[in-house]
Amino acid sequence: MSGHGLPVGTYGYDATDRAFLADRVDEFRDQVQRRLDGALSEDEFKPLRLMNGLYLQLHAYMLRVAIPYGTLSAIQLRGLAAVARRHDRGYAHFTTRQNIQFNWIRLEDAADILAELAVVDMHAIQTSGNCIRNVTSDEFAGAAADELVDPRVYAEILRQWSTLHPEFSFLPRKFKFAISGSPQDRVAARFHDIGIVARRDDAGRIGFGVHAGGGLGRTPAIGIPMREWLPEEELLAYMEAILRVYNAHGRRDNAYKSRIKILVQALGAEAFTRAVEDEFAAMPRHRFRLEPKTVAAIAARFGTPALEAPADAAAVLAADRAADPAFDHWVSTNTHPHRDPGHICVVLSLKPTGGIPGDASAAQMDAVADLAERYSHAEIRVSHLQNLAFGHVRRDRLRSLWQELAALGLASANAGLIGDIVCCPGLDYCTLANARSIPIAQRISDRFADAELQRRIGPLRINISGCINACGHHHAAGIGILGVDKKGEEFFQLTLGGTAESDVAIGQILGPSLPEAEAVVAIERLVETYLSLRTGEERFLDTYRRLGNRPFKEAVYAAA
Amino acid sequence: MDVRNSRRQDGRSSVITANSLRGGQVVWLGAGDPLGDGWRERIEQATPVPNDAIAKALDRAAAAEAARVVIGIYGVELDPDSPTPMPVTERERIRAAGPSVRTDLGPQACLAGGDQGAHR
Ligand code: SF4
Repeated sequence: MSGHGLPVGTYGYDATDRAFLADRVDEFRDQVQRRLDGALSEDEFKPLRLMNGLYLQLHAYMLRVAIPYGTLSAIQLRGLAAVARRHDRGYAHFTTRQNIQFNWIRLEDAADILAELAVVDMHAIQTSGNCIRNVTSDEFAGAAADELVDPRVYAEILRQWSTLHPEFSFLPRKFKFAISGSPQDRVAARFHDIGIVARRDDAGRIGFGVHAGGGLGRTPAIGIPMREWLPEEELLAYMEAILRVYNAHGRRDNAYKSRIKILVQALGAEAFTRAVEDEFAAMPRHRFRLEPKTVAAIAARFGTPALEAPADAAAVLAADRAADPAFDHWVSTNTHPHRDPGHICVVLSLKPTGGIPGDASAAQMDAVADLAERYSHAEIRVSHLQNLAFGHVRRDRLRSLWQELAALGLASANAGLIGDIVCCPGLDYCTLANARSIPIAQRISDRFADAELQRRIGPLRINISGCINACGHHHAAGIGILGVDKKGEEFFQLTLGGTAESDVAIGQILGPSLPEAEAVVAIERLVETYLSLRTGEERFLDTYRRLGNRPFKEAVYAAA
Repeated sequence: MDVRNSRRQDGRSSVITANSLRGGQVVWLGAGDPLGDGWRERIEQATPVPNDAIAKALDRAAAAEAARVVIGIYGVELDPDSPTPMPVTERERIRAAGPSVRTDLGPQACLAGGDQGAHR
């Protein structure tokens, strides 16, 4: 518990929030019953179930539950584990949008599950449909040394503004926000419909850089800079202006052309920006003014941790690292500096060698909840890279946490390395897939299992999507892999040079797509080529940028 | 219906599939009443229909959707070279068996005696 007596990091619901959720559960229970009774047809029912996160996938219904801004309390994580155990097959999948998916849900159980989730203040609202989706934020929120503001406070403000906003329930298409509280973009801000990055202006005041029109999928686009620096008080008004322009001009006649990125491209960056600025100038901005007291009131609903560490915490960690090279290596890959010198942020890898990226068993979820209570103020974060994180771990207790994580299979020292593969469910689960994405992830993970080899390769992201919808963010990786269907056969197209970080770039297609076995060999050749051509401390991306795709293309296709 | 599932070559057979409305699980139309016990969880129990008769069979099966037994009925072409009913596409093979990366789950697990929940 925090100094405020609220759960750390999650937004404390009040009676109104709980009554709202209870009403939604009752409403959905009634809708399911009417579907089963025949009062509603599937065509009528489908949008209603999607509004509650319930999809029909390959093997069963799939329930997608929102994890607002990627933060969970230990109680909530146990609630999710209980759903996995009671209503599913004992596991669940963390997605690139900081949601969790259950794969084996029965329609008959869905309302009960939502009721069980509501007990722990969770729901599946805004996880589907043409609305503003769950706002994502960075996994070190409220903790990182380089942070200017806690992005979760603003994510919650955006959530409250957008939830049930009469104009925004039926947008031309789904709409995704990401917000980073640090100028260091850890949320792929420029690959979102709107990406917000906290920043200081020349006078040192804190505000937000705003990008719009980014996205992945069929037409990947980097968001255009709308405002270098927007004062906090204008945040909502400016978002309202962007959404109004999109709502008025976004296409509703063609699903492939309905995202804001297409509107930005159709109008041109300049005309789009002008339209937003004109709307902003003309609208009653005072109605949307974000007052400091409003921000303070929302912030007060989040518990903050009482950060107490012994004076020698950092010295203890330094000694522990010196004594144990394996621990030292894990610390160098899987931690991030905390604003408090006695604490540190920790990534719990959900990428064991040969495992399914992002999957966690109910037993692991329960165990992580226990560890969170003992080591990190009962709070857990989910990253858009499909890992978990602890925000506030005492430095002197890090080694003992590492040992406990290792016993659970959650201590792979691979965050940001080639073993940290991002991967969508693909054809093993997803009805839209062209190809299986998980098996290729597993083969690559096995191939590069050696920790020393991974370290030698250095930062290299591999992202895999089973179809052009790009849930695996393949365009945003140094090596992207996209599953394609070639006359009923699974093939894989490689893209190189993408990144979602501050030096954002869209991966470029390397050449013709390859069958699975050849694709894995191609990855080996790409890595070998990089290792042989890199100079000094170059990352894969640096070498690729310096040399272009030619040597890589030759390495992959010359031998074929 | 998805075009990937509608390829049909003359001389081959198809089976009819859907998902159970209540449970969501994959089901295959076999002998028995399409409005009742005709839908089975194992593709081995499906009744193959020659491709030139599948359109009519699908029309007849459509009543099961109206009766809220199943949703999303379509035909799945079978591999003529397989001794047991085996869809030609990877997608349908995965639907019939379960996830290829979790062989402990789905109908494939029952063969191995593994899945705890398939028949709920
Ligand atoms: S990228 Fe395609 S295959 Fe993968 S989860 Fe998204 S829709 Fe499904």
